[in-house]
Order: sequence, then C-alpha cells, then structure tokens
Amino acid sequence: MATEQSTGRPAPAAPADGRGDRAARGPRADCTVDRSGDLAVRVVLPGAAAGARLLLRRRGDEQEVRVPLEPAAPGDGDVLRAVLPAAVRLAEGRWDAYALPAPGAGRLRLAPGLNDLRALVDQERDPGVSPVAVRIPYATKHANLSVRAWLRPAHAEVEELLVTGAGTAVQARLLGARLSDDAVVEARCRQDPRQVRQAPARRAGAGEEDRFTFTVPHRELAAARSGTHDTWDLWLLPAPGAGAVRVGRLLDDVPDRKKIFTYPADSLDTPRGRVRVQPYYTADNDLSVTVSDLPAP
Amino acid sequence: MHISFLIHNGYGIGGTIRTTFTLARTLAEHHDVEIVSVFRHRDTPVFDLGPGVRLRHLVDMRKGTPGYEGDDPAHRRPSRVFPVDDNRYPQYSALTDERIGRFLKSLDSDVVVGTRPGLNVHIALQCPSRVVRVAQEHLTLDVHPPMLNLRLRSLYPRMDALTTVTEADAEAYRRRMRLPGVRIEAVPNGVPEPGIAPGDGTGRYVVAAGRLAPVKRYDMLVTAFGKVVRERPDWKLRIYGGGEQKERLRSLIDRSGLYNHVYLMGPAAPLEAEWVKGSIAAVTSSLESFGMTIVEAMRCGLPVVSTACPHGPREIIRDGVDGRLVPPGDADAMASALLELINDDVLRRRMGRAALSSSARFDPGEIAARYEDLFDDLVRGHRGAGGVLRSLGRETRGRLLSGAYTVTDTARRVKRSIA
Repeated sequence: MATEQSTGRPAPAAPADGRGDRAARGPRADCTVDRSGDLAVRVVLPGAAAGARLLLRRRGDEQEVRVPLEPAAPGDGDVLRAVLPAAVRLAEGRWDAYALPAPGAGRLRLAPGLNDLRALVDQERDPGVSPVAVRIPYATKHANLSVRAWLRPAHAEVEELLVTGAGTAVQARLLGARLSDDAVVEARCRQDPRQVRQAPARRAGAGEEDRFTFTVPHRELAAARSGTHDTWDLWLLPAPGAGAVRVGRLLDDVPDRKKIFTYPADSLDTPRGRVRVQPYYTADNDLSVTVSDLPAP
Repeated sequence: MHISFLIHNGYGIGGTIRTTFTLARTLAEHHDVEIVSVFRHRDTPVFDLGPGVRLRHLVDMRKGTPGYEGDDPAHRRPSRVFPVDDNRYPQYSALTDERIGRFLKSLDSDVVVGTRPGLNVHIALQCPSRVVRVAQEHLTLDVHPPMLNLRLRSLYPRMDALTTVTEADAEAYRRRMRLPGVRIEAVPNGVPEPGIAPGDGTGRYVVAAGRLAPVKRYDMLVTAFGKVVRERPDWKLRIYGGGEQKERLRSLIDRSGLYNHVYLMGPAAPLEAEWVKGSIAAVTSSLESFGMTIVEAMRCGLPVVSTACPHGPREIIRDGVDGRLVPPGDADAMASALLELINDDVLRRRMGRAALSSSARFDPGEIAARYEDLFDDLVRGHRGAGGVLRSLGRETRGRLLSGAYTVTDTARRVKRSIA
C-alpha cells in the first residue's frame, strides 16, 4: 500500500497553520467515501509535481499520514486524486488535511469542496469486525477540511433513544465484541469516579446477536448526585471480564451531533430538590446523561 | 453587449446575490459583464464569480480599513432617491444617492439591470436614456408594501423591461400595475447542474432546506412527518437551515416524540451533497416567490412534494409527473403525498428521474439565453429607427404618471438629443 505513516515528524512550514483561516484560502478538495470505506480526495492543484502528497495531520500529537496525489485522469495534470484506503487506520481524533504539491514544498491547507458522504448515511456494518473504524471528512468552523476519526476495538451504536418516566431507554447495537447474557450498562459519574450505577443490557429480541436495550434509571442518578451538575458516561460491559465499550453514535455522516441529535429532559423531585436529567451526545459523539439542579418551582 | 448589474451587496449571502452571480457568470461567456455592488463589507465575495465578471463597489463599509466610508457625514443624511418603503431604506443615504447617481450618469453599458425595487427606482430616476433599463423583481408584487407599489407604478414606466421570476407574478404586474410600453417577462432563476452524481432514490430520508422562518411552515412539515412515521417508522426527516424558529421547532419535535425521526441539521453549504442523501424533498412554504430549493433538489434527482403556494412551485413541479403539489397548510395532504412516494419505490424513482430531466430547463445556460434574447431585442429596439420616438412616448407616459421627476429627466434627455 502506497501510504506512509509517521509520528511527530513535522512537515515543512506551512503558509497558514492548521486552524487558521486567513484570506489566502487553500485549494478546495472534494471528498468521496464509498461503500467499502475508502476515502477519495480530489483537488485541482496547478503546478503540482510528481511526488505530490495528501497529508493528514492529527491535532494534538502531529501524527502524520501521507498518500500519493496522482493525476485523476491521464493527461489531466492539474486534477489530482488521492485515495486513503479503508485499511489505513486513523487514530481517534481530528486530522487536518493538507496538500504537499511537490517533494520538499510547503504544505497547503485544504478547503472543503463537495463532500459526497451518501455511503455513510445508512451504512451496513459487520458486527464481527474489530477494530471499529470511522472517518468523516468535514468543514471545520474556520472553513478548512479535516477528517474526524474514531478507532475503537469495540463500539455500542445507539439506534433509538426514548426519554420516559422510567429513565432513558436505549436500543443499541454492539460491534467488535460479543454480547453475553450477563451484559450490563454502567453509568460512571465524571465528577465522582466512585459513583457507578449499573443497569442490565438485554438482547433486543429472540435471535438478536448484537442488538440490545437498556434503561438508565433517572431516579438513581438523581439520588447519587454529588454536585449541582453531574455528568454520567455510559459504558457497556458486554460480558464478565470483557473490556468496557463506550455507548455512542458514530456510524453515519454527522461529525458533530451534539447540537443536532438532542433529546428532551426529564425533571424529578428528590429529597434535595428538583433536578433535571437529560441524555446528550458529547463532543466525541458519545452518549452521556447530565443531572443538574433546578430552581425550586 | 456590455451589461451592468446593480446590486445591494454582492459580498453577502442570499438568493438574489447567488442568482445574480450565476446569471452574470453565464452571460460573461459571451458578453462584457460587471456587477456593481452598492455596499462592500468584506474583501471577497462569498459566491463564485468566475473569471469573466468584474465586481466593484460604490460605498466601502469595511470597518477598520483605511477605505471605510461609514463615517462619512453624507452617510448620516437620509436618502432622497431610494424609496422609504423598500426595507433596505435605513442603509441608504445621501452618500448612496450621490454614488449611485454618479455611477448611473456615467454608465456606458448597453444594458443596466436593477436587482431590487429601491435600485430600480434609482435606475428609473438617474440612468440616462441611452442605456437599456431593466428592472428585476426577485420577490413578488403581493409582498411589496402598498406605498412602494404606488412609487413603482409611477416610475417603472420609464424602464424598458421588467422581469419577474414567475409567470404568475408577471401576470400580476401586467394586470395590476399597467405599465404601457414596458416589456414584462417572466424569467426563472438559473440553477447549475450539481457537481455530484444525482440521488438514486434508495435512501430513506426526506430532506427539506431553507431558513427556519414562519413562512416555510416547518411546523406543518413536522406534524405531517409525525403521520408518516406512524406508518413508516423506517423513514427520517432532515431539515437544513438556521433561523428564528429553531427553538419552537425543537420543542415541537420533542413534544411530539419525533426526536428519533426528525433532525434539525443546521445550515449546510453546499446543499447538493445533502440533497443526494435523501430520496424525497419536501417544501411546506405558504409563499415562495420562486422556489430555488425545489429546482436544486430536482437537479439532484429528487422528486419534490410541495405546497401549491404562490407563486413558484406550480410553475416548477408537474403534479404527479416529477413531484407532487398539495394544498398549502394541509398537513394531512402533505403526509399522504409523502407516503404515496415512500410506499411506492417505482413511482418515487420514476418521478426522481423525471425531476432530473425536467429541471434541466433551469440550467443557467438556458436562462442566460432568455435574458440574452430579451436584452438583444431591447437594445435593437432602442437603437433602431423608432427607438427615440418610442422612448419619448414612454417618457410622456411616465411623466403623466410620476410628476416632477420625469420632467427633469425628460429635460435632460431632450438636451442630450439636441447635443
């Protein structure tokens, strides 16, 4: 595979840094993800030389992945295309996209063009495959092109969620691990790690290998609260002794679902006063539940 | 031909700006085209102008730059030309009167096109008769305040042509404005072919896009989709756009228990990439002066279920052929039309293909050609033997209708024709 991976080796200095968006906007790149998960990037790059590369650089540790940028069609030297095969793993995080027009040349931050992500919308996943890898190209808030990546040994994908009087009822699907009859979902309090509450994870129906349901009882979380605002992260323990699997929603075309996939709140009275309980997706698209004090009515 | 477009702000985002840029870009393939923007508040325009179109501004509003003119004392004095009832009036001033007037006076184009009522008034009053004057209406006659219509009625007789985006609106102008000698023509907006393969109708998403404003009636769409979900819980609705109604819609979705099926996606650009993820587009507006999103969705291969609201949808969609039209405000009718397409894969895909081919008539090339024919006719009529007499006749009519302004304009014109 014509892909080079390296860690911490910085590319030559760039005209604009990863986050910045100055007047000199970089070349616009069109991304297409196909059913197999390959990510193709197409960019018009006049004057590019042989040896041009697409560079992905992870925020935080500057891990790099380089893929050859080659003429999209013979004789069409300015239109270049790079394919990042599904088999190339991107570590979880945000990867900024650049073009390296020639060996040794400075990198150009890429701007988002048309991202054809229809194959991501209702994707079919084999629950037996581990790790679970997800890559979604997206426009950053500074209008640059980056790729949001998740890479987890196993993942519990939320399919439906209902806020009921009994709590947050979830139907989810386990990928990359086997669900046992003794599976449980654990709510872990971020503010007070000693606080853990468990609820059984039951198979969604007879013959369901990987689909399960659970209910997070709001009353229990409310009773256990440690401050005025607690956050409980949800983890699936698929079998006794197996590694915990974060519950979330990663398998579509939405890189940032916090403000799009929202749920109503439940409010209930406790001996310490009225509280509001609400499930939500974190900045990493994982499912958590907040418990916060409400002013007395 | 040398064609000048006069626009409020070519550096902003909006339907008129986008459609003007598309038209200018296409006309520039054969003509000398410029866009003159009254205001400029940022360095580069948002929409693509292509290589052929020149863009310049008359008043620089870039705060913190040496050219900033917002503090000019003349900019604090109210405009005397721009009509008070055009809702952009507060932004216009003695400074814009002077700048627009100077620009129009020195204009050596063959054709000048105004892109909103206030600017059409400027053209009627300040543009010399040697230039062919075209007033574009991107909204509709019905939505103008009555006082604005009175003013337009007195001044539009000086224009050579008035274009609307629908036949229905053109008919309203012909019937209610009575503009003798002014050519009134409907030319729809152009929508480019999307740079992405069309949808194939296999997905289970209904897509809507637009400002979250009351006129779009997304509340009705959410209610209708609630009925759809009862029968087809495997289908979902995505609404793209931002706006004042967001919280209301959010709480409607939550109260109706539709939060697993209806998603407020926020603004998205480019929208083509979002249309093709859906298999049906939905429009619930109570008013669409044109219906740009309908054409966009059709160009992406989606059949559109739309209310038959005034004016655009009925002139874009052929009911039962390339989409569905339902009575405005009727959630039940909207739900049944959606279900009809959801429950019939063959019908849905056939309508999608029909939408794809019929929407090609809105290709910018087709639309620009219609403008080209119109401009050509007008320029030839203007230069031809009868031109002077005809325009003089129009002046006389204009004077009868609009009083003092016409007198000075005619005086100027007579002077010029003597010289």
